[in-house]
Amino acid sequence: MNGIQARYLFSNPAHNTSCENLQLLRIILEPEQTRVDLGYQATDYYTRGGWVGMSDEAFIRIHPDGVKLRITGTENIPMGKNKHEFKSTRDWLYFSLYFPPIPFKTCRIDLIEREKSDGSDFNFYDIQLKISEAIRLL
Amino acid sequence: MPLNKLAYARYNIIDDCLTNKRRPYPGMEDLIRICEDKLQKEFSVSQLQKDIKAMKEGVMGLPAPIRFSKSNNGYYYGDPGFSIKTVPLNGDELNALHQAADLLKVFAGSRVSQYFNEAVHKIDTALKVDYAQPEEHRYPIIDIERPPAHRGFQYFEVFAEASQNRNPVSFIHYSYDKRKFSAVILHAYMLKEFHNRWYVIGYSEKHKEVRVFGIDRIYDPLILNREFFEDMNFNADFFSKDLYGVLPLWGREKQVIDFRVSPGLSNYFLANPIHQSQQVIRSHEYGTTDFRIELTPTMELVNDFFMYSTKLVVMKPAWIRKEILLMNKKASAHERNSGQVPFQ
Repeated sequence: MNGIQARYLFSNPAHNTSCENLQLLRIILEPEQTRVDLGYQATDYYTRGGWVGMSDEAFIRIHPDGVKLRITGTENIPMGKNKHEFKSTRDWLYFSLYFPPIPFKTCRIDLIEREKSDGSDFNFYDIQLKISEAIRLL
Repeated sequence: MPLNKLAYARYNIIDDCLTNKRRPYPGMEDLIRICEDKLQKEFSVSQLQKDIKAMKEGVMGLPAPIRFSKSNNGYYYGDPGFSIKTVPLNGDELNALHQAADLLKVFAGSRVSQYFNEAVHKIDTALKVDYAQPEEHRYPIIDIERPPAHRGFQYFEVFAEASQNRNPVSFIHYSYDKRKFSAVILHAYMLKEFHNRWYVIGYSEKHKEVRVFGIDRIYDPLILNREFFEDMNFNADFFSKDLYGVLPLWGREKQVIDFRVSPGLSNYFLANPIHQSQQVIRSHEYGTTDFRIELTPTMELVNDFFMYSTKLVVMKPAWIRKEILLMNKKASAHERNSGQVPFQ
């Protein structure tokens, strides 16, 4: 537990990434879990847009102490070896990832699908969670 | 003669008092006090006496068997099972209710909210149970278009409530044109339907202005506990009266648009004006008609003009003519290529 009873939203948190087709949209801190909302746009690079899936080793790393919280579930995207196959290069996918709760305090986190990435992984660094920008959900 | 609302409210309160088993035999003072408490208005003894007389005479359908008990110093119904709420409807009233229920059922389903659907279902069930008619003799005499539920419609209620309660909403929007997601915080002012699609209109914090979002492109709205922003520049009339559609074209002010329509299509435009400002400016000898509308041009207007472009010509303004000409050129190119060149 992170000690909070309410749910808090971070909309469009500042971050660094090399992902071109994946957007980090929202992070929601809840008493029981942390939710990350992302949007993926299929590209011309792969035939019929290719596929996406989420590694079951994905994790959140909290700075500065480097605590890692491993993914607990997903919504709208398969986790592990399963894949979501796109039908065309114009498809898109909105999905959510779930992690254990993180402390409700201003901090910086990374969202890592694979630490040693080949470039195709969903990695986001230096995600800024500023308490002053958190919005309480009803 | 129709009842006025206040009288109707008093009759119902008197009925509640007379059917209240825990406090039987309410006196005149009780009735006045309870009516005044519930309606926040003062009433005289003579007013309540008139009400009781009217109820006895059957103002609500059947004569109410109201008696006065000297021993208990209060009023009661001579028939303990009586209530004006159980008074049967007459035939005309019943038919009118059935027709109204049929009409409501048409709107239920995909068009409004789940609460509305449930309310309609209850009305329909109550009518069937309480005023049963052989079902085989009845069929809805009113039928309107019933579009299938579209994506995002499940969020209708969230936006309606957020707008009603003045709560901002966070949601994810996917732009079909830009092929980009965005996390939006919207202070929703109104919902609007056009061509069976719903749109939410409000102040977007991201865009710092009033924006329109099709709810089919919205994901996962979350209601926020944050102060609601009222944009003083928001003009509800603009969206409900000055537009054909919901998406005004950027930089285009309200203007006069003249267009000429073929004889066959003229009949449809005459019968179904596309905007309240529509007027005929000239009727030609063989049925061609020139129309004028005055509104803020929208994407929907240009698209519909293009759709009719074999039978409709925009006379002015020139920019709409050019726009439709361009659209027609693109359509011709696709036709020539038999769709082999990918649409962009």
